[in-house]
Amino acid sequence: MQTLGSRVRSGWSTLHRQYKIMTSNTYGLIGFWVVAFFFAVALFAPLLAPYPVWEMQYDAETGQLAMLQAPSMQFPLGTTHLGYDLMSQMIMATRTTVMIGLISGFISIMIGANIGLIAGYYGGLIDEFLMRCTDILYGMPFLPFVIILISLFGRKIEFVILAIALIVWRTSARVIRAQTISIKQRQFVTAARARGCSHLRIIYRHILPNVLPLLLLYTSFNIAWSIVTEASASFLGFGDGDTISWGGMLYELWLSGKTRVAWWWFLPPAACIVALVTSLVFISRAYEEYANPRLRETR
Amino acid sequence: MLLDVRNLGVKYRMDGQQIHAVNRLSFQLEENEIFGVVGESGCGKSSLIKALLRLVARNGLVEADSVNFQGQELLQMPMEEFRKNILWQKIALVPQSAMNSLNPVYKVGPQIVEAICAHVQMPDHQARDRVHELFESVGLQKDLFDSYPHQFSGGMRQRAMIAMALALDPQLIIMDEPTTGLDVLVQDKILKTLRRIKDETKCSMMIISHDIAIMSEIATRIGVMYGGSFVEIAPTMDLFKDPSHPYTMGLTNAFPSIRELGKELISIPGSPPVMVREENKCWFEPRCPFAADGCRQTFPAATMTGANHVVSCLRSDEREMLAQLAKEKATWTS
Repeated sequence: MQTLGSRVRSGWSTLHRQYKIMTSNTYGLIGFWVVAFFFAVALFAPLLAPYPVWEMQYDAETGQLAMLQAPSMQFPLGTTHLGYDLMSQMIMATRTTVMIGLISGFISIMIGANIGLIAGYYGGLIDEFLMRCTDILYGMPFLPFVIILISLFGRKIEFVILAIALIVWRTSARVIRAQTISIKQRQFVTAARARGCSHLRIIYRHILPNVLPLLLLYTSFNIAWSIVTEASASFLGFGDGDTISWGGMLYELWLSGKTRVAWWWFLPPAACIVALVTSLVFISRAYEEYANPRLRETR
Repeated sequence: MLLDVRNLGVKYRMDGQQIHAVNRLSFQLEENEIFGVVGESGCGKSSLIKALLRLVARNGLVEADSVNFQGQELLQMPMEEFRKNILWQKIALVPQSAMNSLNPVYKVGPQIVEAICAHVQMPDHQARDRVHELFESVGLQKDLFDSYPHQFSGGMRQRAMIAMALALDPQLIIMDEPTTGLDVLVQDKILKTLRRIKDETKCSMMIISHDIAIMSEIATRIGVMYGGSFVEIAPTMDLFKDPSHPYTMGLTNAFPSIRELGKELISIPGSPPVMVREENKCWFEPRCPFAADGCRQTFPAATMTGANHVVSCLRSDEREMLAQLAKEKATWTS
């Protein structure tokens, strides 16, 4: 039996290995720390936010409602036209965005990986059916599809997550299917079959570990895509009205009609979306280099 | 008797055609023997293994009057039962190119332990002990337990695969080209190991190879395959002393003998047949220098020409005369 200590050690060494892969090049290193920063902010958001998000703030000197104030000591990122503190909004929005990104990223990779593995392994009619479903999904325009799903389900955060996950999986399914097909022809799969391994065991114990680098690459890719999609949908007003997100902040700005004036309102969410998504892409690039060593040589 | 195969056939559907890979194949396997199967590429060796292990691809069709293993009909058994109770426990395979038969992402020892635990109820530490034992019996050092397959040499991987096949004490081990791709010294060591294992575990082995020299060294009985069935099955010594099928005669000609150094090797012209339909004729007839009219009209039935010596040739009565002729190069080239 494995002792708890050895389990913890092997778990730790796995994590350490993932860290090594992610930080194996400069971009990956930058990406890792930027993502780590956002994750930390998301985790401790309620402790970090100086004010409640939906509470009008008053100027400490004049005692008046702090409407549309530029960044100052009191409000480091300024305020909105209704006197909400943008710093607090940014921090709480990070939490929402990271959460939506992570959850829909993981759900989508779960869907994509399973569909890819099953289609690739079984082949034949099952493959045909699953891949045609994927094709149909490819035929759907991304944003309108999400918007329709959200309007069908309602503007609740759970449904936003679901709607995003239901469309982001398509690319990962295709790629993982292709990899599965190539791996299932390797001799060790036949050997496993000759040992009487069940199909499910072969798929999840023998093939899955071999597509893992690719899977991690697409996990981080899917998270990035989920964040972009969430921001776009929220910006168009299809986010959850009760939880604030970066896209939602931009939507509020748009509604207020102060886009040309309030640069401090516009800049932080936009920059954070770009920074987080880019960092995730950097990380996925590091995984890509690991999964496909040929890319390393061209550097 | 361990295994009794009667009239086995394997067909593949391809582009509306049916390709016969194995055709009217019969043989018996006794306990504690090493049965060698030789034949050139495309004669149906691999399809035979796949049929016995029920691993034939979806476009393949397996038919037989009987495939009886220790009193059980293998082909009639429900797939789940076959998978759980026969594969690996009773019949184990050492696949072709053992180089790639280990999963590259797992360490070798734990990989075998895990496979054992998945198959039979056995506590983890007991399975580990078993693998250590197996490593020893195939001549692998115990400290290799925690190595990855890529850290193994070709011979070591072959040994690991043999260890894996032995894990559950199978009655029959099927080996597909166990020595291909290994240098002669390693080949020799592996063969010695196999022979020792056979003596220790009293299991039977079925060894598939195209290398008749290897076979002569290890097998107790040899079956020569051509056109999807056995054309001749005989105890090893008899096969070389008294080859009764023209194909066997040709095959023995094509291998160098240490006693006749410098002698030119004679090859059999032509290539194996593609069997798109079942025909009542001898499949070797187009390449056979001794083909008679009858060979084109009847499928030669298996006849006994000696103790345990079975031949499928119409002219097997004249075998001594034919064997003399077959030694001449002119017989094959004209």
